[in-house]
Amino acid sequence: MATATGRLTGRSAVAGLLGSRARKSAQERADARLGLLLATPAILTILLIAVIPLAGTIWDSLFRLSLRFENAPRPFVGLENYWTVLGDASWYNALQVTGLVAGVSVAVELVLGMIIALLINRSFRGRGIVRASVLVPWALTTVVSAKMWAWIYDGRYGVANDLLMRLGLIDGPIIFLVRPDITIWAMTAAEIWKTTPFMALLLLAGLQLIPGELYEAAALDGASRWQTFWRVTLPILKPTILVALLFRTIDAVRMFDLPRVLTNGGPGKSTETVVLYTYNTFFTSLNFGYGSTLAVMIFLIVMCISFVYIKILGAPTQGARR
Amino acid sequence: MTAPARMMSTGTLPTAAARGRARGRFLEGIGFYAFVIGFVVFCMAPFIWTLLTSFKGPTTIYETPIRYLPIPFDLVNYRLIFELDRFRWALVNSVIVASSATAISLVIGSICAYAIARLDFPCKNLLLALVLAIAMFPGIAIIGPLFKQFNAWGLTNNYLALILPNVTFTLPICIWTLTAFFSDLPIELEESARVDGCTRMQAFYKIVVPLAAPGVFTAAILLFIHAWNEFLFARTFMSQPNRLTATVAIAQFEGADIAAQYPWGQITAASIVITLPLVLLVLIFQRRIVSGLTAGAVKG
Amino acid sequence: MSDVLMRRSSRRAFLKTSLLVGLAVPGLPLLAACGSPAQPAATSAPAKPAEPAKPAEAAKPAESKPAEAAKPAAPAAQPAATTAPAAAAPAVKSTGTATTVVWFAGRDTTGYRPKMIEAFNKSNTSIQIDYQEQGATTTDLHDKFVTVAGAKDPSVDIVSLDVPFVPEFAAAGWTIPVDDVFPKEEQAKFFQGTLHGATYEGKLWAIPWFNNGPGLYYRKDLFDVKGLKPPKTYDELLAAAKALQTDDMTGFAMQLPQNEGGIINWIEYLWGYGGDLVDDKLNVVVDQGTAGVDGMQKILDFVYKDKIIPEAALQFRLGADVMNLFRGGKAAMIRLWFSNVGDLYKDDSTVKAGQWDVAPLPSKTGEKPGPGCLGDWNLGISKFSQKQPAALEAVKILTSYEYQRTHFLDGGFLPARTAVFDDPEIQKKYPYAKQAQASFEGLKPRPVTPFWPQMSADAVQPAFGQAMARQIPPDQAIKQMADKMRQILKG
Repeated sequence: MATATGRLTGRSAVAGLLGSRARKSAQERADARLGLLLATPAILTILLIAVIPLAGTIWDSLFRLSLRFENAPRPFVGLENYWTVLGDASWYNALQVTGLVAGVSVAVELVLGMIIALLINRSFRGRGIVRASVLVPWALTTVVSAKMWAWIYDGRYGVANDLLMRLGLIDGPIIFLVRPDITIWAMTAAEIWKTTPFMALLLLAGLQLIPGELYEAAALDGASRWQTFWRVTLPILKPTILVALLFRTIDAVRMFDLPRVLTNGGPGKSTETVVLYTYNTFFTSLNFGYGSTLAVMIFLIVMCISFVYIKILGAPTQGARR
Repeated sequence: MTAPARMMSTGTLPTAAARGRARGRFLEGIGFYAFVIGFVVFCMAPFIWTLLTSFKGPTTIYETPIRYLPIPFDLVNYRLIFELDRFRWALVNSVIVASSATAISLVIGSICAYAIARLDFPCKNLLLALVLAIAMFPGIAIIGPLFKQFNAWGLTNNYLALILPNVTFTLPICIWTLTAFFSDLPIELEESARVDGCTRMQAFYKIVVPLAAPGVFTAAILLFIHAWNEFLFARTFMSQPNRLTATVAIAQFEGADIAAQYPWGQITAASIVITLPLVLLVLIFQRRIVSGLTAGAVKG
Repeated sequence: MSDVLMRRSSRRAFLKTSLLVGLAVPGLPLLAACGSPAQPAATSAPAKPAEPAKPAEAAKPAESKPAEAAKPAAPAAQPAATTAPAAAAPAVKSTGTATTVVWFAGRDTTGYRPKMIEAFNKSNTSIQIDYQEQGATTTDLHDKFVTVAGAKDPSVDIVSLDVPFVPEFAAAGWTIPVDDVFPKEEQAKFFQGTLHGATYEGKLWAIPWFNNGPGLYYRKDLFDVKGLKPPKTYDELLAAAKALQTDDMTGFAMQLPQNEGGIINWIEYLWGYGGDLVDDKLNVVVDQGTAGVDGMQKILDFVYKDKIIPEAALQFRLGADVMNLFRGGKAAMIRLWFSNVGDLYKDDSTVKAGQWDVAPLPSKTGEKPGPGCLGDWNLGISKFSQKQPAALEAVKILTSYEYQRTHFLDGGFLPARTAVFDDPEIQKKYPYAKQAQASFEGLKPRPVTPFWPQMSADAVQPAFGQAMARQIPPDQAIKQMADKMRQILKG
């Protein structure tokens, strides 16, 4: 298909990119072309819908861009916005809120999920029901879940108060979503409810990959349950755990729907997560330059977390499989 | 490594339980089932409570002390929400956006996944990094420029303004899941087909896709659920009330036209209606969903 | 291998069919999506056979629905006769194609607006209004307009403006001044307070549409039994509440959540004690003197010490939450907007006409009524609209005497024009109208600055919320509020 010269330059280019092999067969080159062709729609979509707007956001973040006053100057200020973020008390508050909620929920989910996975890791009657009900919280729209929990937490008609009072744990109703010290934990509980089942599922899948012979060997060696768990199960499960943690952490950092619908950042700013803070900066403060900066910061944080996890995990194993 | 096929079956697993005495096992069994029941309750309780509330009329909902069971049973909330133009439209819009996004994402994602699974091509690692990056993306980072872009392209209040971002952000799930499935298909089938004279693409179309149909199906379900639940873009991009999706409609249910009170009855009814398709999907296809999710994650 | 091939062909068949089905479902609307966006909200949703109890409405226009669905559309069961502003209303008729203007409006809970739009579209053939409610709360409407105007998009022409939005959007250059179409003689017919709220930097940026202010709703029947008069001071309020409070009915209630509605209640107490948030030059003065702290402490006492306001009030995010308490007979007095009065005329209200009345707000000394917060709504024109002349025409009609009159008569929305109160039919139907009119003369706006929404959300609301939840003492809240307000005003 290619001309002679094309083939020559193509060959050296390809060899240069792929390194090791000196000569490539026509088939392999055709494969490479096909591969690129097949991947192109995906690449294009991502470029158009994600990468280019992101570049726009990064560009905006380099300006003092407030929409509040039409005739205000919009100078290029370079990294000044980023400097401001580092000194922004509200940003640190949001980081703290996000870190707290993310940290606690991921930790609790891991432990709970592990327990659940271990206990369900055997065949029993009704396994299907369990599996299905496990997926319900995950499949629920976050907005719907938030509304549900708002109803449960209601100060007058909420089930949470009713149950707690019936159990004698509290005397009078607690207005969950108004007490600053309680609201953040109420929100965390809602988050944990929604995603623990999914975590349990991931861990369960990992558990199922452990060959039974290992357990039998451990039992033969006289290992206790705890020792078996610690020495056999956990090490093999490590990659699964890390992947699950990675996804959950990223999702927790990007939390928007839940705080927006459940508490809208209140009371005070006690449940304002970083994404919510960014959103308010755009729409309430009309500060698009600074809001873009915050958005980029969030993106960088997410990237960093990903890199950390991936380093621990090792490189992604999603290579070409033959 | 592992075969998703193995995970898809529910065959008995090697149990790690100690073989104790019968009585010990019995007690353990009771405890185990108690735990299982507790866990199911934990997962389903808020949803069940929402369901119960939706069947209560306006006086019953606000009764104190709380009446748990909806007696008298009342369908008024469902009737009211379906009388709302914008709610009916919201359901339709969600179906349109979610299924379109799923279909497009499947097409784009499956060919890309095939390329990743079977072919070597330049910039492959770049592509993988890109896909990973998209999965990590905070949507808020692009709503502004993307909104401007769509308006410049004349897509204001157009379904494509929601479909395209949904396609983009469901691509990672699609690509990962399908790559895993494609990789696990034995290469011999394709190779023998090609020996018989098929091109790569013919082999893809005739052999890989049909065999991977379960995987494609699984991916479709995952994508649909993801697109159905999307909130941020749907909220920002559509201004015509009859173009909102269900997630936005329910977030904005405060003060529905009918009753100028915080309409918990209608909110819960709407929640159930919006969630029902997902719950049904999940109940019917739970095995596939689980294997799809875990195949992607465990291999990742 | 052969059975693989067998499986392959059946799988292929399955795949083909499911792909076809799968693509057909979104395919058709995708084709539609490639075209222009859908037209006016007047079209019904497509018929969905599975829906329970939904009448076959595929072809019927939206007008039949408000009649059934909205039940008693706001005040009493008025026949549709008065809905259409009489032929005396200004109308624009002409031949030729109509211009459609898009109107971003806030949520209407009375069910009256669609009827009004319908009447408008029928009598004005050259201008048609595409009425789009944006979200449930004022914030939703605000954010939506910010999104559209920020992108300089022409998809909106008329926008409903809560009074704080007027200076905000004017400064941002997203609305156009209306002085040209709103001559001084016309302006004189409106309440001056509303005009003040629509003015920024010497120009008028919107036309006041309906007025709103607070009143003290009280159970006249219960007051008469105990021989009480509506309270003029905070102490009298406390005494009356204590006297009337029972297990089943709280003495007093108002909105106290951490949102705009909540802080307005406190701001009125701030004013009632003689203080203010900012002075005329926009210097922050809320931390001068004790009015701010006193006001906050008084409310805290009402909730936690005297217990005449239920703690649940901290969750009353919507005015309707408070109104439901009152009309369900669970509160003896409430402070609430006049715009919520329509709910008292609905059939499901336990409290009926004659049992209730409205009084001016109490203040510290009782010499004058406590100042109420201006809460009117205006109509503005988007700068990026490509149909500004038509939009301006539409707005002029919507704010005309006739429309404001029926808006009040049928929708319960108080007019921005003073003359409407003199109408005998109005006076007969709404005995409290006199009270409303009197109090409207004395309404105060919140700080008229483009920074107000941010000041409210970032400075006042968080501090107020924390104080109400007793996380910080009032004086700390005021200081925090003042510091943050100064920071925001610096820009």
